Amino acid sequence: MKLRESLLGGSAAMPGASLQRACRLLVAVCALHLGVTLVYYLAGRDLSRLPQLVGVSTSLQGGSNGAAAIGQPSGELRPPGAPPPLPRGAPSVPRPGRVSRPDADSRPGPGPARNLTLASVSPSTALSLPACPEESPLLVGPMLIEFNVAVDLKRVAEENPEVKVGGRHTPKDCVSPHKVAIIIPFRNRQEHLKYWLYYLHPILQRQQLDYGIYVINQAGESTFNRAKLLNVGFQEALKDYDYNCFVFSDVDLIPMNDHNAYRCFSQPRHISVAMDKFGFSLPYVQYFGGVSALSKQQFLTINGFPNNYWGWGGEDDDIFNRLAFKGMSISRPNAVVGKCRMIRHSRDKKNEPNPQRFDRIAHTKETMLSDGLNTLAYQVLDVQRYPLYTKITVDIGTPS
Amino acid sequence: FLGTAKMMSFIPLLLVGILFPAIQAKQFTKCELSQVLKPMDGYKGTTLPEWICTIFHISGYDTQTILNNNGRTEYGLFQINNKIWCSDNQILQSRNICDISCDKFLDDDLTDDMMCAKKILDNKGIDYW
Repeated sequence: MKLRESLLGGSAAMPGASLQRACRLLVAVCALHLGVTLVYYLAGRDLSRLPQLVGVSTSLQGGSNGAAAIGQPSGELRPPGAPPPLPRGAPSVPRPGRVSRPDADSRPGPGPARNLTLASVSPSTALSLPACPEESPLLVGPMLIEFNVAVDLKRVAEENPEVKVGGRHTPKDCVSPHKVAIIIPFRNRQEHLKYWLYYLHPILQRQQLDYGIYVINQAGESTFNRAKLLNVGFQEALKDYDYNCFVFSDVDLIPMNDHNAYRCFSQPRHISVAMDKFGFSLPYVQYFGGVSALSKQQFLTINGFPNNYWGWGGEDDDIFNRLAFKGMSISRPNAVVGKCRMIRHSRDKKNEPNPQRFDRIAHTKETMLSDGLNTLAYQVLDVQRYPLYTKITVDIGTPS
Repeated sequence: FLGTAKMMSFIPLLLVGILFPAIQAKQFTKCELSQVLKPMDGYKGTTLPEWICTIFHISGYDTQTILNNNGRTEYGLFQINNKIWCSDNQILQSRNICDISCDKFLDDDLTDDMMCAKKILDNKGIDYW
């Protein structure tokens, strides 16, 4: 009280004294509000990553090539050793760098020219390599995924020198049991594909996978058929190499944590379990869309995927049904490891929601015997081996 | 305070600013939808979780969903069609049982959608979906 009176310049009641008291009260309330907000803010933070946050800041200031302008919208810092920042400046026209094959004129049939294992280690070295560890020591955990800077595929190829033509990679220090073909159904989504390649190649290499990337491009303008393209990818990839595992990924889905393994498990694997689009959780328990992985045996057991789902929706539910009818269950990572980002985009033309999908998925049990790998018919129009992926353009026909 | 002329000009602007977002089309979240659809819970035996699940699959919680299906067009969260339930320019002899213009199902006010969904349940039942 004494202090206050001396501040007020004596015991006289000045005009505005009550105003001053009111102001002090206001300041006190504001301070209390700020304090409470701070408490809630801190309570919501993931403090276990504090050391990582502190450790990264110094390396970013040090040797980075000046592109420190990348913001942190997701609140996660990029750990050291992660892929370098996206290039700034004018987005360059994508030049995938088409590779002309040595025997150029007509497309060779399924034979030596399509065997991509030729570009690999010499036999003596291959025999002396140890098996790759169960969990790769190269993984970094959560990553920052953004889609606001343009991607230059030439730079991506330079930054991933161990990826061979056609998007093939084999770990050089160990032998991986996971021979994975990654199949991407595609039409007119080059921008998304660039982001996919930019983010996934480093991740797949860190996971020490023996992998190849197959972009299956639907030719023509008729309704999109995702599942049929995936069937084509399965068959065509096997002409290159004896893959034992198939990851089926939409082109616009990027994992946010490299502990989310892009390979096969003893049960069919659902990889995109926590998409940002669905609030980082499963939209429903039987959801099997986005990114999934089936071993060759699991895929053959269900007669592959349905060929008759034209338009958006339902084919992933049909696949779920097939697996269930064959006594298989879905294996998933937890929702933290399984976080994925989807590149926002408007609905594609010629891929409208398929109104038949609800009826169709009610009859999977009958149709799976007569609709699948055993009835797959298509025509390959073109095969291109780009540095970072193989693109197979196919005519898969039209809805009958 | 409110009497000054300067303040007066702000009020209408403020009101418009508040109201304008209130009448946009909307992408509901599961939680928001659960709140809004409470009146539908248990109607003709269909529970709220069943509604949420159905709506997710037919419209993905997007009030602006509009789809063509076999010569008729389906509108909004509940995908109500213009052949029997509402009227639009495509089908002129619609029975229009809900007595409403179909595009009213594309806004974020779900009272009319729910009214019509209830009528569908009364007349046809859950098999509509």
